[in-house]
Amino acid sequence: MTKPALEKMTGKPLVQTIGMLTDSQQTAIRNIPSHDNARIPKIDATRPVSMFTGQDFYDLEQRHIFRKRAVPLTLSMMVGEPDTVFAHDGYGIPLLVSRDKQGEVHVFLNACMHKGAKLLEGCDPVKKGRITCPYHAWTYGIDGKLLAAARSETFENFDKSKHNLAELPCREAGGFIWAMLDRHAEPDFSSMDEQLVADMAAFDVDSAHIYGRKTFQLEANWKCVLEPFLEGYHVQRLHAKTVGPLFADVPNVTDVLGVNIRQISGKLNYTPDCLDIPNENVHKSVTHAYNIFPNGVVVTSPYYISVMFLMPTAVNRTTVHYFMLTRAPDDNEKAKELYKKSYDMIVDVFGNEDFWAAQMSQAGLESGALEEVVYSGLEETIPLYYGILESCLPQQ
Amino acid sequence: MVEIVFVEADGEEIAVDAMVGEPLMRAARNGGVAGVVAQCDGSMACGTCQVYLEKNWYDRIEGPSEIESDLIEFSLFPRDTSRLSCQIPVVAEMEGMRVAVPEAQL
Repeated sequence: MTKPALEKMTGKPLVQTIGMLTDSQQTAIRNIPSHDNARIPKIDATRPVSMFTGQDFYDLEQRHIFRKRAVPLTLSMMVGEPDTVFAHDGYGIPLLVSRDKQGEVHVFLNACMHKGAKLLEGCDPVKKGRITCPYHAWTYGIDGKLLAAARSETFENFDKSKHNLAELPCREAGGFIWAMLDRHAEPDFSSMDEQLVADMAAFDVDSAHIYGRKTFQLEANWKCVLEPFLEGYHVQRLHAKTVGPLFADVPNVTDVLGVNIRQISGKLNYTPDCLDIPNENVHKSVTHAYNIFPNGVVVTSPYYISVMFLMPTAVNRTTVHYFMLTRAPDDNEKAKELYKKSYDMIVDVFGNEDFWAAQMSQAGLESGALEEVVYSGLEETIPLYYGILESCLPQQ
Repeated sequence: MVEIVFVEADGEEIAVDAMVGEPLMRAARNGGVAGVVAQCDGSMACGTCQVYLEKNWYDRIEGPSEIESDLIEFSLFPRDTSRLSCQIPVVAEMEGMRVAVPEAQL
């Protein structure tokens, strides 16, 4: 890591206090009632099972959302330094994500412009200024420019400048990279809400350390994977043997930021008074859970932040890129032990509980046992989310 | 034959017997210089045979083409006297010339 990059990562306080968050986050946190005063609404909300199992609905989502609007793709820190590149296959489309010498981020189709061969395999970021196709040794700068083609004199009328990599429109903000998956679609980055970006910047996602990351291949519709991150109803039940006891069975303070959702809740130990303890780590008593529309998830924990990209590859297949972010690298024994324990625990909870439940649910939904899914007052953010999703689809 | 000394990034010196007229890259490969990769086998398409010449030799030989300059510019470890060794024919006057090899051909 370069010195400036390391300084940016380590030059900030290790503990995040409420005062370091945005005004909007602070207001929402101050609105969390004490657990005694929490009011759980009753709701009457359902959705048809075909939303999770139907090819038609999946195709609609793909056409009107995933291929029409910019989607969250990955974290800025995956290409934290100039001259870094990695292959991204999560959406089932071979992509390259790079940061060039000038620090600009690019997203390309991972295909040589000679015969389409994938230029890079493997999803680990690598330091590189150029990429050479293993097939016929065409070489591109990581800004996408074709630098040279082997024996180019053997192509009649060869214009090198017409064979640069196919680039997808992308933008970077708040530590995230958004991209249009269809390079021919009119770029639409309207999901990148200003407040969402400010909240993510307040969490220092743009200078966080990627402590660990893991890819999960799940046999479930992507919304079955997303739902547990939009409700607290399951926490005391599904996570009874792990993290459930840390949380209260109360609703969240929910705000819609453009098309994104922010949920803030008090943990079991939360009282309104605890927010005013000087220098207190706000993440010890408050949990933030965001949906970055349509398929990004951010969940805060006392000493780390979980970020997930839930990427549909078929109606009942989802690839999840999970990232555990810490405010600084694990450069001492205490941090090493804490982060390792946290990573093992969270990968177990998400992988063996939330994702497991999503797959169980998918199997049951596909059995035809249910016509519709019903949601409780402790799950009211789910129909709120589906309202947003449906507003992006053509009216049925 | 002309003896050329390649200096790998870790300091190891490898004296290579080169033939007059062959590309410097070929001499390096035949001599087992690991830091000269030459993925495209000398067609000036990959830039992975970059070396650092001594200043007097850099000034003495014909300069790089635009493509060669681009390939060097985009590499991770370019220097003022960087050249692609596939583009430099060995001449008898190179006897004893020292050529440094980058830490990686990226």
